[in-house]
Amino acid sequence: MDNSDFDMVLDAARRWMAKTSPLADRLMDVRRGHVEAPSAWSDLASMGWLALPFSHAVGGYDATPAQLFSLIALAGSHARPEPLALHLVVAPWLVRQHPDMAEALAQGRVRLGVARSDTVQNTRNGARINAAAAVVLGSPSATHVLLACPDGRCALVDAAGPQVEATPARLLDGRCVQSMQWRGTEPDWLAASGPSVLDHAACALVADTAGVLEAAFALTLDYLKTRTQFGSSLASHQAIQHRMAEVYCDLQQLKALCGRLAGEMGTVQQQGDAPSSGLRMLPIAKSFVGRRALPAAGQLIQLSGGIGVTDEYHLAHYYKRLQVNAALFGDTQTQLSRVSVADHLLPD
Amino acid sequence: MNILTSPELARFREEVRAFLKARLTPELVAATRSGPHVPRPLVARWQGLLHAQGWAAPHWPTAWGGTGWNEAQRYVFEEETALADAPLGDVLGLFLAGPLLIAEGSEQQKARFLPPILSGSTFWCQGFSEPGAGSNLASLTTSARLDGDSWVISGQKTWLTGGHEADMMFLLARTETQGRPQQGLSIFLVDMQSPGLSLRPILTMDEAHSVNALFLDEVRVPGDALVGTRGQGWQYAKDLLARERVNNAQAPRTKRDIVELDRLARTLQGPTGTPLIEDAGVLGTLAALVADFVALESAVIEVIALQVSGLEPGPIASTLKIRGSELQQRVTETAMDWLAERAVLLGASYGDPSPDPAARGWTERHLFRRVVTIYAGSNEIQKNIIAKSLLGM
Repeated sequence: MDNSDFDMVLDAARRWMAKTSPLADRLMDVRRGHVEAPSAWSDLASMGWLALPFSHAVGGYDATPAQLFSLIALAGSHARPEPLALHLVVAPWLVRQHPDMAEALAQGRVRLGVARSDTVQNTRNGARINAAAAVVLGSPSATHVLLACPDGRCALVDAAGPQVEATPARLLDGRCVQSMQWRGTEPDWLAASGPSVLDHAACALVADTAGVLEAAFALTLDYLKTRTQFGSSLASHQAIQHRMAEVYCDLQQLKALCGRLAGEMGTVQQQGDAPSSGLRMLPIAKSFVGRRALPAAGQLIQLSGGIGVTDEYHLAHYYKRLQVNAALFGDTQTQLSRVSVADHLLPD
Repeated sequence: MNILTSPELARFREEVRAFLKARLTPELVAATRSGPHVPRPLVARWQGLLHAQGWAAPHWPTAWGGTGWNEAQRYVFEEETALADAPLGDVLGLFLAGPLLIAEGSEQQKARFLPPILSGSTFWCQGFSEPGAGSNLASLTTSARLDGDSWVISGQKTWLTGGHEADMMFLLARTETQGRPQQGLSIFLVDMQSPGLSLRPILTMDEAHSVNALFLDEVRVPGDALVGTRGQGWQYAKDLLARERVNNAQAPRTKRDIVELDRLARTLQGPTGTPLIEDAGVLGTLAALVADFVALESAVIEVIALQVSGLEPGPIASTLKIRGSELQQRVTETAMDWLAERAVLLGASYGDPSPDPAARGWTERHLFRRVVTIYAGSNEIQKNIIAKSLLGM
């Protein structure tokens, strides 16, 4: 997709996010949580955003990963409740194996959740499974779940029906999710090679993190310039300037890692399962969320003072969203255990 | 795929590796590995080998002996030379004096001074800092006054890296006493053999002599020793230090050190006799260093991509200097931690290295590297730059 065309998408997205269940409104009623707007899925579909990541061949717009990452970052900066990031990164992965699902995904009739399950058992006749997932990230109205199994395989299963027991739950950051159990469900085993569905979902969280941290940084910078104590703005103090410079360094590195990860994702899409393609940057970028982005957001809370710890202010919600992003789909230590000199410093 | 992984660059990388395999001698490798200071004769020999290959100063314009490589190729070159343990050249000449002369020098100055930098026959040092003017460089007091058709310079300079081995110095001195402190400064090229000029060694905490104090007592230099326009020295110095900042991420050398650290963890044994690398804590520390290196490298790649497309990175380079220097220190701190007792035992006389080959080079680098967060604009100054120039605070 042309960058100029994509800029129009971003403009439209900015308008929609400011108007439809904006973050400021959600903060007015925090007990309600970050709930999807009733019109969300039909809006996303009618604006064409759900078709952005698909190829022209299946009726999509062929947006590049770098473009998708910028839209995801925008959604992150608004702490959007609908799982746009997950859709934009994971749906094209599914469509590469199931081109027949592209249309339903683009229309929002199929809505994906992604989950990791530690317990997947075949039932006695072998064709069906029993499984459980504590966190299914995705819309509470998801129709399908991509279930990552302990053996590395991925099953596409129904998210509703007589074999599914769904329990509503909330994430730390107030988003609505579900815990699920499947009994005797017939899975559609996906024969994908290359990076796993969990790694794709993790990429979505990394791209979201860049938007969240950037928004938190901009908010704090503005506050520091406005807030006056002892007769001068907080921003005029060197102790505060230096801490903001520190966070800025982390933010720059995070954005650079995102750019590199998006580049790798583009290569994966072009080359499919060619041995040279992979998401080498992912464990580094994903562990960066917990190791750097989250502590950086903690610094921003510290710099903002008391207002920073209230649930009525944006910052707490950004912080909690980063905590979620750090934890899901390969936590910090797990991702770090995939990082090595041999793989990441001397690949050739 | 990023700017460093194109097929063309892969071929270029092979070319560099082939050169290093053919020309880099074990003696040069050993000198590079033994610590942060490689003696001038060895640096000169390496520079001569590069010069013979036409690779003496890749970042200079081709008209003055540059290679015509873009920033990505230059980075690959630096990476491969670092991984092969090739010495750095005369950094002061190649990265500071040379670019300064190319940007601001007269044609005569360029013709006279640039070729011997390329060949490794002339070494340079920098006379900027003074006892009373460190981070606040503009407050310097060393003065240069015109006397007939020559300049007479008096004052005191400090932190002259390689001053005792250098032939020439570029020096910042006050030529005007009126106006703002920044306005009255000029840069001069000074022969280190000039009468009235004396050096005193400063021993750094790694027990080595690489920096010096300098005293200038009525040192007379010819009129054509002035660089560019009188009074423009501050602007020239600022441009020079900004160029230095991207370079000071030192990512390729840090990459080499992390690879070496990985080897160290496979060589050393823990208390139970198993290799250190099998310890979960050690593995985690190493992975964190790799991750932070790749984050730094990614930011460097973004800056290189800007440069390749003809844009100046500007103050964003300050983030590279901060994070790059911090990481350099963390790497050797980790080595010291793992080497433990072996890293704190030295030979009997002052300046003798550790008798333990495993520790050699690490101890010296570790101690000397306390300086990397201080020199080239301390990290606190870099944070001031970020806060003021980028964040508008």
